[in-house]
Formats: sequence, C-alpha cells, structure tokens
Amino acid sequence: MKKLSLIGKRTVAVSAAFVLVITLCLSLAGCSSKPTLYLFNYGDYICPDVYDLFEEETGIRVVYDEYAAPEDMYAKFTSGTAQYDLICTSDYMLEKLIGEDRLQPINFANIPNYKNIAQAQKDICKSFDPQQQYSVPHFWGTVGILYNTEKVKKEDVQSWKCLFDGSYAGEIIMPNSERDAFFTALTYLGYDANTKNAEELQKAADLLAAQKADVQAYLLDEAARVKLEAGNADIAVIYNGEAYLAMENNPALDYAIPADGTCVWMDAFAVPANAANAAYAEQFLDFLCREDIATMNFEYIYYSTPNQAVVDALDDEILDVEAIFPAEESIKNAAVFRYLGEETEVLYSTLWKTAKS
Amino acid sequence: MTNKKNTLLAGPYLIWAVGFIVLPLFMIVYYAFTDKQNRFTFDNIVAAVSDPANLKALGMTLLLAALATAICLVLAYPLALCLTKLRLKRKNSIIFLFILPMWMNFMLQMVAINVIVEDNGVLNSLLTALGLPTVHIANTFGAILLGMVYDYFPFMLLPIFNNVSCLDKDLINASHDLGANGISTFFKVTLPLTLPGVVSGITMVFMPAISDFAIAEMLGGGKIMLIGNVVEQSFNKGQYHQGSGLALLLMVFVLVSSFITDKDGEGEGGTLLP
Repeated sequence: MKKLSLIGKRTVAVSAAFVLVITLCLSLAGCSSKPTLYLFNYGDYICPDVYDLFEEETGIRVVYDEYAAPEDMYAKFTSGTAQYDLICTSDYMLEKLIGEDRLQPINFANIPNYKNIAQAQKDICKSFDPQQQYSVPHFWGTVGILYNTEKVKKEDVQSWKCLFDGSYAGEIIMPNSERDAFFTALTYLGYDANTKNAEELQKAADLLAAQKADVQAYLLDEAARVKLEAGNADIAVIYNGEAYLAMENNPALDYAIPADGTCVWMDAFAVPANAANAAYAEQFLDFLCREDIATMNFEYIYYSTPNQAVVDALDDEILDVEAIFPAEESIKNAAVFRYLGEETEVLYSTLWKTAKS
Repeated sequence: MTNKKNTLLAGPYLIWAVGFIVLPLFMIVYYAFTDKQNRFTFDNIVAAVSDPANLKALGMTLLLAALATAICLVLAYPLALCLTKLRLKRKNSIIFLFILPMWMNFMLQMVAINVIVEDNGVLNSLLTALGLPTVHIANTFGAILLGMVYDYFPFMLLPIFNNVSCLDKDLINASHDLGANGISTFFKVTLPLTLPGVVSGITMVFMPAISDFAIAEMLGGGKIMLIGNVVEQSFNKGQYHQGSGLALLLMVFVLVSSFITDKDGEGEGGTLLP
C-alpha cells in the first residue's frame, strides 16, 4: 500500500511536470514580440484579407476567436479564460454587457473614419447604447420571409399570418432560435417584440406550439437557406443576408419584409473593460470604418453595411435589393431586440422548450 | 516489483481518467446540487423530473433508443449467424464492408441521409420515377430512428459476430446427435451461448443512443426534443445548474441500463473485438 502511494505521488509529479511543459509551450507559441490584437467575433464575419492588410499597414497582428451564438460568446467572455481587446456581438447582448459594466467607452477621437457610419444606423445603436459610447456598427439587417414565388402568393407574405394560419402547412421553416421565433408570434399577435409580460409570452408560446404541426423544421441561417434553394420547403423566416444568397442561387426565391413589422438587428464592435490594448482596438476599428476596407467586408458578407461611404459608391441595382437595403418604409416601425433580464430569459427558455416538445 | 510496474503502466491513463472523466463528473454533480449562488439545493433535480417537457423528452428518448436497439438486434443477429457460415477469407472482407461506413465522417453520414430522405430527395425522386407514391420521412421520428440504426448498427453486429464465431461447432452437432431439431438446438444451445454477445451489443447501442442529441438535431429538424437536446440547450443558454441536473438524471438511466446488462452479460466471447 505504501509503495503504491509513493508511485501515486510520482505519477502526480510527472503529470504535473507534463502539464506545465504543455502550458509553457502553448503560451510561448502564442507570445511573440509583435503587437497583437485579440478579437472575438461571429464566425466568418470579416474578410480574411483585411487582417493581412491591417498587419501590413500597422504591424499589429490580429488573433481572433469565433463563436456561433451570442450566448456562447457571453459564456466564454465572462468565464475569464480568455482576454479580448475587441468583441463583436449583437444588440441585446451588447445591452447586457453594458448593463454589467463589462465594456469601456470608446475614444471616438481615435476613430476619424467613424464619420462614414450613417446616422440612421447610429440611431439604431441608441436603443441599446443610449449615450453611444460603447459601440461601432459592423453590419445590420432585417428578419423577414424568404419564399418560393412559384408556390407562395406575394400577398400572403405581407403578414406573419401566413406562418400561423395553416395555409402553408408542412412547407414552413422556422428559426431555431428563441428570440426570432417568438418575435414572429408576438408581432402577429400585436404585442411588443420586447415584452416581458408573462401572459403575452405565454400566448405567443401557445401559438408557436399550435404551429409546430405545420412546421417542417426549425433551422437557422444556411440550413434554412439550403432547404428553400433545393425546393424542399416554400417559406422560411430568415435573416436578410442569407435571403440574398438564396435569391442569387435560385431565382424563383424572393424576400419580403411583412408589413405588420420586422425586427432590425445590429451587430457592433465594443471594447471590453479589461482589454489589454484598447488603443490597438481603436486603431482596428478606424481601419474597419475606412471606405475601402468596409467595401471589402461588404462584398465578402453581403449583409447591410452601415458605412455610408460604401453605400454611396454602390450601383443602384444593388441598392434596390430589399434583402440588402430595405426600403425606409419597410423598417419604419421595426423593433430592435432589447436585453430582457435574466428572469425573462429563463422564462423564454422554458416556454420555447415546452412549445417545441 | 511487478505490481509497481503495472501501476506505472496505468499511469498515463490515470492522468487522463482523473483529468477528463472524474473531475468533469464531480463538476456535474456539484453544479447539479447547487444554485447560481453556489448554495446547496435539490431544485435542479426536482425541476429535471417535474417539468412535463423534460419528461416528454425523456420518454421519447427511451422509446427511440429502445426501438433503435431492437431494430439493430433483429438485423444483426441473423446476419451474424449467416456470416459465420462463410469461408474465412470472404468473412473478413464482408465484416470489413459493415465497418466501412464508420470510416466516413459522422456529419457526412447525417447530411447524406438527409439528402436521401428529403421530400424532394433521392428516395422520393426514385419512387416518383417508378410511379409510386412518395413518402414523408424528413424531420420526423422515423428519420431519427433511421439515423440511429445506421450509425449504431456496427456496434451491434461486431460483438454478436465475435460471439457466434467462437461458438463450438461440436456443441451444435452434439445437440443434433441427441435428437434436437434445428429450432430447439437454436433455443437451447445457440441462443444461450451467444447471449453475452447480444447483451454486449445492446449495451453498445442503447447507451450512446439515450444520450444522443446530434442525430436528433440533424435529422429531426429541431422538431423532436430528446433529453440530450434539452441538456444541450440548457448549457448553450448558460444554465449550467439546470443542465447538470438533467445530465445527472440521464446518467442514472445509463447506470441502470448498464447495471441490468452487466448482470446478464457475465460470460465470455461477447466483446466488440475478438
């Protein structure tokens, strides 16, 4: 027994040394004399060439991590396992981070190109960043309906009603994300998209539960787009950029923003309160707002760009595409998602789970 | 001395097991019995078993896993009996064919199944071309079942096959000599002797099937929630305590099923590999 425990100790010592060596190697590999900016962003949300150009011009290397959903970002960001100088995330998540004092004000004097950002989009940011101190818009867009013009009547997609009245049973793709799915039901019922009223949310959940039989699948982004492109479903609730791609790939598809209301989303950059190199972050933000760089990103992503300089240089042909540049009256009454607080977040999860089960 | 050497040999795995199995297990138990303020509570466990949505997901999970296991068994057992009668050279190449799908990436398998069963997919185009009515499988219970059977079938076949091929031919011959016909030889000799392989196969299929969430996610179109999906959703939303409570509940089912099969499966031959 004694012998065994001795060996046990040695094994522990050896393993500890092993772990130490591995950590050392990893940290050395990540460390070099070059100034480095650590960025946390949605997947594939900046044209990769932009990083090279930035390093060429400023000597600052960009190391980036990517995530899929804002909640994943929040979990990793707040766990303290990694420190970032710059993050990019969505409206309601930014509001949550601001409320928790996790962001620092940006010094806009260091970002002269911020002047390129259109006033309309700065105004959208006001809903989650009232003083406009924390955020620099990256891309924005709408939630709408992608539909097959050969199977679905254009009049029908002017209202979210078409998702709930059974007229397209079995052909509907709903978003597999709570906020977006609830948004369609709440808007159809005439409630506020940011309601915290438990009764209204319950009614929306009941509607979604009743709708489930008519839904072909709950999918997000690319998965939803591919279904419609292949003709396996006729109608999908989707983000505008995916809709644009779908229309490029299948001319029978079109995008509509229902008249009873859409939701405008905004993804923006922010500097964490614990950023080690806020100056690098501001330098990078200025770079991103520059017209040529913003154009590169726009041509890579094809979501709506908030950069007025880029918009001004575009052809009318692309400016007329509702999926990229929605008409002013389509988004006149648009909602912007707000952070609803932890209690409502939990309620959302429970209702969504019950509606789908 | 041999004892010492033996322990050293287990050293690398010991590090692995402590770091990646024991510690995470403790963390799950810790999270399951605490709330956000790290206070002790039973709430997560109570919520896990009292929420009707969770119970429905659990029922669906057990049903799917049991059906998938049963179908795999019905497919694999006769096949294993038939395979052992082949000459050795062909036997190995045929076994190789059954393992071949496992060489393919899991995601690709699922995407391919989706492409086949989709409403406008390969299967329905074929049916239409033959003038037959189309079938609606995509995003249903059936699609998930198909995916599970496809994915787990080799894990049922291999242990049964290994067991059946170790079977002593003389015992069968003796049974015949003593006047038993084919049917009673099967039930009195072959089946009892190959039971360890069957039990091993059931364990290898049933246990991963009840904790699966990826197949349901990819083939069910998000319309069918299994308990694995509920756990995944909780963790994605940062609700670690509730998620751990559910994970613990799932672990109880895994433990119970492995306990039952362990008790019946004592014996030799029923292993995944020869």
